[in-house]
Amino acid sequence: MYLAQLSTFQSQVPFYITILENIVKGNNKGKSVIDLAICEAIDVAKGSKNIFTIDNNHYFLITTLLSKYNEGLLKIDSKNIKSENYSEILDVLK
Amino acid sequence: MNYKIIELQILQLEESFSKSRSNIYSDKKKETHFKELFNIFNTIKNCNYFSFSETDIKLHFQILNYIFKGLEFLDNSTLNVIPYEIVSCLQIALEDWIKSDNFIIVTSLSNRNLDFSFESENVEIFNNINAEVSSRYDLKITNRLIKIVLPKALSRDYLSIVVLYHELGHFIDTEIHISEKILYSKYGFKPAHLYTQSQLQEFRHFMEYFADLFAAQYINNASSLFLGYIAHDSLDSHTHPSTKSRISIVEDFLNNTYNIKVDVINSALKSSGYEPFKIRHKKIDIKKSDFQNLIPQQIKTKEELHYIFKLGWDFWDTSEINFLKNFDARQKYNVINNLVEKSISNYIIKQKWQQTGI
Repeated sequence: MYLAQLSTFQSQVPFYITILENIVKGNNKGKSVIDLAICEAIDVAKGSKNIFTIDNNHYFLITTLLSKYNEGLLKIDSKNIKSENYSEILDVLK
Repeated sequence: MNYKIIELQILQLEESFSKSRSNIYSDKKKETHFKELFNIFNTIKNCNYFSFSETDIKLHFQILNYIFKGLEFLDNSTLNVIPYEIVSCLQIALEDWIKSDNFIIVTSLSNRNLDFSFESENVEIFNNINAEVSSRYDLKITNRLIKIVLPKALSRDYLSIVVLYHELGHFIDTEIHISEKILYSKYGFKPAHLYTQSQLQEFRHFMEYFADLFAAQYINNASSLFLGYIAHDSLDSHTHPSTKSRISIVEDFLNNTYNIKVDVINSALKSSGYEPFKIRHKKIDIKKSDFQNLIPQQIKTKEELHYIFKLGWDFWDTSEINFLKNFDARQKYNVINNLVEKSISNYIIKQKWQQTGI
């Protein structure tokens, strides 16, 4: 539901912002979760992965990246995600 | 947003916990959940929340909110309040879809008529909260709550309670994101406000069709029968398809008639790794039903268990010509509800005996 989607955004975002802020500061706690979601979002954006097979454990983050950061995703090298990529994603979520 | 919001939540929660301390729950899992929520609350209360950053405040606001919601439902799920029979039926249906033993079904009884709903934080929120409380406070929440809201006055009305199967469908849809994925696959990914009104309406209608079909798997057209009573002439709205369309899609599904919407939903389910919708009930012939002898139906399988709601509706709809014809309206209503409730209760107790080898 559209409204539920908004409320999901408000309840989910603080957790991801916390992890991303830590990564940008050099603390990698939770980085593996974020990296998995980014890589899956890149695969969907490039068309190499089907939307229906998205992992439910990171569904919100993946679909938020696809909805609000699609062009950015296409520029990320999934084998070498850089600090500025995390900063950009942080800006998208804030 | 400053620390005062956290302080206020803590004070409010302290009140709630003091009232809930004497609760006696129907099982150990609920007791454990209560203790885990209390430990997290107590730890946050005693930490230095005055110096939280804005991100930390937002994060703790969500954690305390989660505790608040959990406590509200636990309070309404004590031993003598929980409507055990319907909860048992829903739990059996739920297990067809989510294979996990870390759920606790809890209920909240509402004072509003027809206020039926399911609520739960999805697995992503649950994992995120757990990751934070684990790394910051070395605590954890073992189980997820699935919260059922139902009207207090109708908690033992087995005619209207069929709505909960529809609501369970919404819960599963939210959990596995089928209607959302249909929207994304059809119209692409974009911020929510960039979808057109007609695209959003189509999405919401898919959500309702999903829930209606989900219910029909278990209770045949019992949900449609109730819908026909309460929303007979309803036309398409932004949120719901017309009653006529909803009844029609259920009929197509039950009669195995091709329907493009059923096909879209079933394809999405299959692509997402789930079984497509199928009949998950077994019909009980009204003429041979034990109800005819004023005794509970002897239910042999879970497929018959779900059908008991449809049987109740069949007896209600034909009560002018069936064995109830000489009863007054109140008696008819009470007899049907009592027979349905006892039939479920007998089946559940028998299953538990068999599981424990008694």
